[in-house]
Amino acid sequence: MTLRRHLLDPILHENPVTVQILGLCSALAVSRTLEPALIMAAAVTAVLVYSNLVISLLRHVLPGSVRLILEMTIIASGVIVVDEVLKTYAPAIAETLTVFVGLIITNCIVLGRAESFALRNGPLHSIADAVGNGIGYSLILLTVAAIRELVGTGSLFGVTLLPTLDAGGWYRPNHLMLYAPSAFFLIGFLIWGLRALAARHVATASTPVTRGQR
Amino acid sequence: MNMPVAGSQPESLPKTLAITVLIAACCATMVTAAVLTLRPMQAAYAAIERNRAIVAASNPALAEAGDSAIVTAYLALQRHLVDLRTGADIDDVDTVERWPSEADASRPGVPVYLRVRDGKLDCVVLPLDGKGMWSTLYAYLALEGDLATVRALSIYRHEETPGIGDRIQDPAWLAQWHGRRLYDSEGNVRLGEADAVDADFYIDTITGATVTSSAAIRMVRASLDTYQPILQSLATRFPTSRSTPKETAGATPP
Repeated sequence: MTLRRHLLDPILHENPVTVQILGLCSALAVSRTLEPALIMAAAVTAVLVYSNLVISLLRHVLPGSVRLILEMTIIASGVIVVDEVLKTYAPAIAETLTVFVGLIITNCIVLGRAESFALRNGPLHSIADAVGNGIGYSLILLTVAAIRELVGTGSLFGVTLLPTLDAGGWYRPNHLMLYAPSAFFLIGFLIWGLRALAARHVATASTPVTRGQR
Repeated sequence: MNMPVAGSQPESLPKTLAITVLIAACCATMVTAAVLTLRPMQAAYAAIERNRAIVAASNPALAEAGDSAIVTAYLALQRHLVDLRTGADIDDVDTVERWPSEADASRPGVPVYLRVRDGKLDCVVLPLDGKGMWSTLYAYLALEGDLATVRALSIYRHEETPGIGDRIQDPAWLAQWHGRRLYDSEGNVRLGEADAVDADFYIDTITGATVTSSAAIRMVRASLDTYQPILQSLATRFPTSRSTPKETAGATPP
């Protein structure tokens, strides 16, 4: 029962991006088109699952005095492996993601979940929490990327849906969507919308465990 | 929820040290294993991408071709390691990545790729490098068999600003290089001159990416001087070529 809650809560009610306002930096940077956003979402989810699992398994032996630096070591190693895998199997996409794969290390969702969840819970629940947060992050990233790519270029996954004027069609693309600030607006609207939907979050805005992480 | 949380009880120094070293060692092993397994594949992909840049310069129609078509086209090129100072062949090479700025007295060779048809030079591909805005630009320049006309420029590698400087890779910008002339009637390099009004020599910079696109033009112009000896010797080897670049003092062909 709680397992299911740990998996499902972060998808909407405790969404890391819209409710906890974490991981915005990469959500802004790689959401221009769907394909890199999808790869980024998968990479973040993979790192989250790995770091939550390992840190949860080590939670009784991690020395408190050097806890954070050890968590960073574990997360950084996982990110380097993911980066190398991407560079090998998807070199073109790895190039468009530039530094943002490496910056997963500093993605606050990863360390945030490790600190606030994996250190206190068993491996099974930690994996559920990681998958849930991964899906929650992916959902926002893909929504923003889908809107930006469709409105900005008239296509999804590079497939033209609205033929643009340049290509002899009728659609005049909104180039604002191709620039980073548009992601700010979209995420802002998403946060507003999702919070209005679940008005209880405004009322109980101080959810104890997840607050205070940046 | 359950069990004491890490850090809730005092630890002994030896235990802390032991766990830290152990975790660090495990992480290091994992990273090393991943890198060692994946590196050969990355190198192979990188080689194919380099071949693609070379082939795309010699024949822009192949820029998006499949990997096997690229390798076939690459292997059909004559590949020579040529002395940058004299233009003399040092060796036939297979897949050497060397750039003109790396050539020095002890290793003066750069790889030059020739496409020869019926004994006539169809085109020559030269590796170029030069300063961009943030990074070194690496590119391949293909010249027509007359050694005085650009066939294509193909950017191989750069780390310019994503979305701005990387527009030097846009096919639309690269297309304008095709058919541009290198020298005026007196043999001076005119290609890409800032005040060249003559459409034969004019290369437009990119609005918003002026620094990077100017740097790319400067790189091509500088390379024409660097490659002077090699172009001279090619002109001698393939005498059917129409015009020759201006002869500089001391480099008179035999």
